[in-house]
Amino acid sequence: MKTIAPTQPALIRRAGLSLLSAILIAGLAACAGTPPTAQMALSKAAVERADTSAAVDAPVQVAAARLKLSQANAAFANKDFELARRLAEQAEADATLAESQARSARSARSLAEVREGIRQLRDEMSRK
Amino acid sequence: MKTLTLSPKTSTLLLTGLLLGACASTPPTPPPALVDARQAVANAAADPMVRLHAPLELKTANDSLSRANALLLKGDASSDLDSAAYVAAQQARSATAVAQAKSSDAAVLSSEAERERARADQRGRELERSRSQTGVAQRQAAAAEQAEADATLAESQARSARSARSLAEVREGIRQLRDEMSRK
Repeated sequence: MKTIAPTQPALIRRAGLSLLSAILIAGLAACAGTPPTAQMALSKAAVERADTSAAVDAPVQVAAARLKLSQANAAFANKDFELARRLAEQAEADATLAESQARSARSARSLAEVREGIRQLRDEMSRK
Repeated sequence: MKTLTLSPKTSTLLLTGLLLGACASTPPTPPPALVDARQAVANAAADPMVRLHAPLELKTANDSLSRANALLLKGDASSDLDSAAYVAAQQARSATAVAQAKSSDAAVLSSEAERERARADQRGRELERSRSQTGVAQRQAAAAEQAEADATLAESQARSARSARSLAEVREGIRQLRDEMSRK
């Protein structure tokens, strides 16, 4: 009975060919870089958060984050994915810093208010 | 006594090994961004408030710094290294800011408790004061009542004295009238 299956050497050749093409594809992908889609989304979310919570208390950091995000978007559009990823990571770090600085400023203000309240209360008590 | 003797081959091997080791352990010069990042992460890690209030943020910064350090060791002195270092430094500053925010929040809570205690003290003192004022007023009222009673007593005594006097006067009048009548 004649088999339709290819002979053993042919099988090996075919396997070798697919392995080679896999390596080639992987290599090409590494060259071009994979689109940092997840990082872009993370950075966008972080900048939006900072925009709503830190625009008043940390405007410089928010502006820096926004600028870097727009640069990252431009790099992404140009398919310069490595640059896009770097800029997006920086934008996220800037946005997070803006948020924490704003939070720190707000907490410091509340503390100053409470302390001032206590001072006034003490004054009142000592006057009586 | 046993002396340590090395064959020329062994010595060469040892020497080569040492030299290679020295080569490998000489760290490449870090770029300014990495120097800055190492400093920022070290500052954050040395702050007990950061360790207490922002351990996750500190770990994030540390991980980014490790990535930058690994890139340096790989000889990857590209903008990738600079970027990782920049991110690590910003994350370290974030950790510090978060720690400041949280310790301020904690101070707000304890200050509010202190304020409530002070208010309670004040209310207590006011209550005490009004109580003592009430006592004074009660004593004054009692004294006034006593005086009133004294006055009433005095008045009634006076009235009875007056009545006694007028009775005597009336009797004296009657006696004089009788004298006059008997003389006539």
